[in-house]
Amino acid sequence: MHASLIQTLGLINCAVFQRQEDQRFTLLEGNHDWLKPLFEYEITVDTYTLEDKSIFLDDFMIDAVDFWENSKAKKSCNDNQIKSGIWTEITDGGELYLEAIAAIIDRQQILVINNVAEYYSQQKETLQIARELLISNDEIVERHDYLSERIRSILIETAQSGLGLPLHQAIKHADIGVIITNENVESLEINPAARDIFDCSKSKSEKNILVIIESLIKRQHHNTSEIFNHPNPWSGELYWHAPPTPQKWLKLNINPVFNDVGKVSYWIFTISDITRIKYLLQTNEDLALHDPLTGLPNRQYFWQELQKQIKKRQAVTLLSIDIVNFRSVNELYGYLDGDELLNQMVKRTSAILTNGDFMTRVGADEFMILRRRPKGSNENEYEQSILRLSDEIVSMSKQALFTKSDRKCVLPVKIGVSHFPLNAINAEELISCADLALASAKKSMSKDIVVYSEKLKQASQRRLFLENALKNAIEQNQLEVFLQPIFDIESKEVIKAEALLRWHLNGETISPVEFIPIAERSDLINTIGRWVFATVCDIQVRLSEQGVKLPITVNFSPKQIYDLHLINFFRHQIEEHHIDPDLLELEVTEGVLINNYNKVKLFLEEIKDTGIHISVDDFGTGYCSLSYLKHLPIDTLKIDRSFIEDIDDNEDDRAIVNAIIAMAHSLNLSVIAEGVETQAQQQYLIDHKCHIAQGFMYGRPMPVTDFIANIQNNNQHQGKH
Amino acid sequence: MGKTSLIKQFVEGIFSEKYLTSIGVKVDKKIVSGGYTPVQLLLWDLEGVDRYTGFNPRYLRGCSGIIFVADTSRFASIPEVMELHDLASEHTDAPSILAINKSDLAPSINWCEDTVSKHTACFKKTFRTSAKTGSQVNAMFEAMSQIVTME
Ligand SMILES: Nc1nc2c(ncn2[C@@H]2O[C@H](COP(=O)(O)OP(=O)(O)O)[C@@H](O)[C@H]2O)c(=O)[nH]1
Ligand SMILES: [Mg+2]
Repeated sequence: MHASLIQTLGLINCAVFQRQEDQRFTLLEGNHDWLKPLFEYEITVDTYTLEDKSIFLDDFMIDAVDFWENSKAKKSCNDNQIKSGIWTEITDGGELYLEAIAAIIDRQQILVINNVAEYYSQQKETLQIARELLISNDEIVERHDYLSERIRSILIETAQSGLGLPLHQAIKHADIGVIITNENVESLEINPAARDIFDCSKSKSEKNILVIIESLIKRQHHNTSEIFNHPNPWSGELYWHAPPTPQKWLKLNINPVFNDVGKVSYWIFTISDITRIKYLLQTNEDLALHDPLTGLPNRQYFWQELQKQIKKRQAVTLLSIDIVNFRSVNELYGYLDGDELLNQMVKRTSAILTNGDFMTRVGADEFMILRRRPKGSNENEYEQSILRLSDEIVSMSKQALFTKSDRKCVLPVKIGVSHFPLNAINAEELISCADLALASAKKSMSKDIVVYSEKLKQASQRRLFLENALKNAIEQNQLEVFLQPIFDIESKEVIKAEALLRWHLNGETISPVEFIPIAERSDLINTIGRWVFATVCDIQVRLSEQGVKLPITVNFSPKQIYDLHLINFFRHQIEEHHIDPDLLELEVTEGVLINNYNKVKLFLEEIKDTGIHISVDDFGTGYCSLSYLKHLPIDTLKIDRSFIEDIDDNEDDRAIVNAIIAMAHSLNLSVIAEGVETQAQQQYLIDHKCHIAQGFMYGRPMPVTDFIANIQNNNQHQGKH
Repeated sequence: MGKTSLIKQFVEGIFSEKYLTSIGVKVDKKIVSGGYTPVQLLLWDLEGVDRYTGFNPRYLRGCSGIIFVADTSRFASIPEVMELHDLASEHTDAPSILAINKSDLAPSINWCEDTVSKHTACFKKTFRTSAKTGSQVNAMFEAMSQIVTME
């Protein structure tokens, strides 16, 4: 688990702590030497407090504790960690550059202290240059302003005598180019620096320089008449390229000088060559604002861009993209290959983007694409173009990529889409809409692309509402166990029952299909799972009081495997209720078996030890093989209802059903058909030697009292015959 | 602006012309004993907010006072500081001081004292400091320690 956390976060040199119930910490991993001075060499003890070691860390811990203890209540499901930001810690071993991360992983409260020395020095280097450039840029601005101001005051002082010596001296040695013109923008003075910039020897006409400048402004900015007819200061950058002179970036300021009566008497041009700054700024900006692995804009840059568009009220669409199961790719192929594959995936995707699309890497395997809606475009056509783009990205992602060592790998993606201003009023909201759509796509088996809609929001609000309400469901007696008969077609007797959970909330009965996944996202599933088991034990007691001896099966959620003391709880319940464990059975789904073979095998064996039986639910939907099943302590296979449903007219389904029945017989397992609703289905099962069935034909799930009444009825009935 | 330089001057009495950009946060301590009771100041030197680094409100939680630093030689630093001031006040009520630093240098040609005085009301106090000469540096930090003990 930690290994994968560390991988996901891309951490290398870090220490991982787990927070205990007593609020002390144990070091799980990363007993680095650099930690020792921070913890005053206490690192040998088993658990310790992290208080008073670092002022910065103490402060972050307030947020961290709040996150650990309250994050469950928080809405957003992808906030599974918070970061402190980088800080410098001064220890007697020197300066440490650290970042702390609080996370919840597998329900454990984890604190990571990450030594970011390398990132720090890289970042420092990049930003040092970038910021120095910003400063020198500011300095140039300041120097232009200063020089203009100086010239202006000389011009005003010497207004009577015309352009004279003082002015000449002021500009002769300036390293900024200066051109002074009359009110008609005809050049009066040009200093040597200005000549140098335009590579003019003395012989070249001075007029020429002004012509160049004016035409550059015209082409790259706007009409010069706008500047000179409305006498305001103007400043801008010009790109000048006149071979053989190397291309140049120039900074130009133009300032009018007014005479006593408020009319322009002179124009002052100041010019400097900013090519070097411009170039360095650009390369550094690339470093500071791009993801080093993929070269894509990073989160910070993306955010700026998104906000810029939204500020302009530009309609945009956001695609939030996630690679399915990328974590396992990293685990399977290792980091370097994982990185290589990511790079290929990005290249491939960028190739289909159009000019102006903005793609960014926001997380290890998460990307976003920002597309602007062209002005005046038809809404329908635009939406179609977005769908085409998404489709193309998805279908491309299903084509194989190859690692350097030529190993084949597929990186399928899921996409969530949101629109501004349709879905959101600001950038945060737009991102969270796209993320919500993405979350829904990730959950869906069939859909790879989900477009955000009001309905999606309502569904997520309902989930939140249910999640909150579910916490009190047991206390408020809202949960009820129903029983559905399992029927022996030959003997026409109920031989078993399945316990099915119902939730009554404010007059509405909520199906487990809806609320069990919600419970599974939190610890609630354990509580509910235990409650169902205990309730079924109660029911067994009731049944035996009525003289009914009938096994009851209980559904088991995959998440309950992590409930460490579950088996003890089972044993305890069985003893306390004095019931025969033969009358209890757990239904595990096929998916559980495949995903965690070793862990599940151990778990099932322990269950078997208690005497409880085990059946495999929804069988046929996963890919369990015979050899696989052979080694697991299983008693029964339940054929998934989807195969029975179409048994009359779907040959494939019939083949699967036959195979399952054969498999069960050869392994000496009993087999139950689920979802039997028609006479024809029943006949098929009889013909193929499956004589135990469950379905509306034999009875719907019903309250326990009804169930008992029914059984007694049925038995009397049977007795009469 | 001189944030790091001001803290260095105050804590260690040193100034360096060389510009070294800050990354992240660095916490310094200094006891101020000018008032009735000595106060230990925990000084958080933050990385400047610019196009490369965003504003992080997390650092404001639990703070008792903020010093905003502007730069005499760059008038644009005044609107920049005011923008930060507004951002910060969305997250904290902590009192603040304005330090107009580099007072040893000639003011920017664009400097507009009227604009400055319009904004000073947002701060408990305003100081013209120089991290280079040390002028007003102690006075400013002492004022801060008094303000935070009074609040
Ligand atoms: N002349 C002068 N320079 C200063 C003063 N304070 C800082 N500097 C210089 O300004 C640059 C930036 O200072 P620094 O403290 O790193 O600023 P920060 O980015 O706000 O932390 C450095 O080169 C300092 O030497 C000052 O009061 N006077
Ligand atoms: Mg600094």
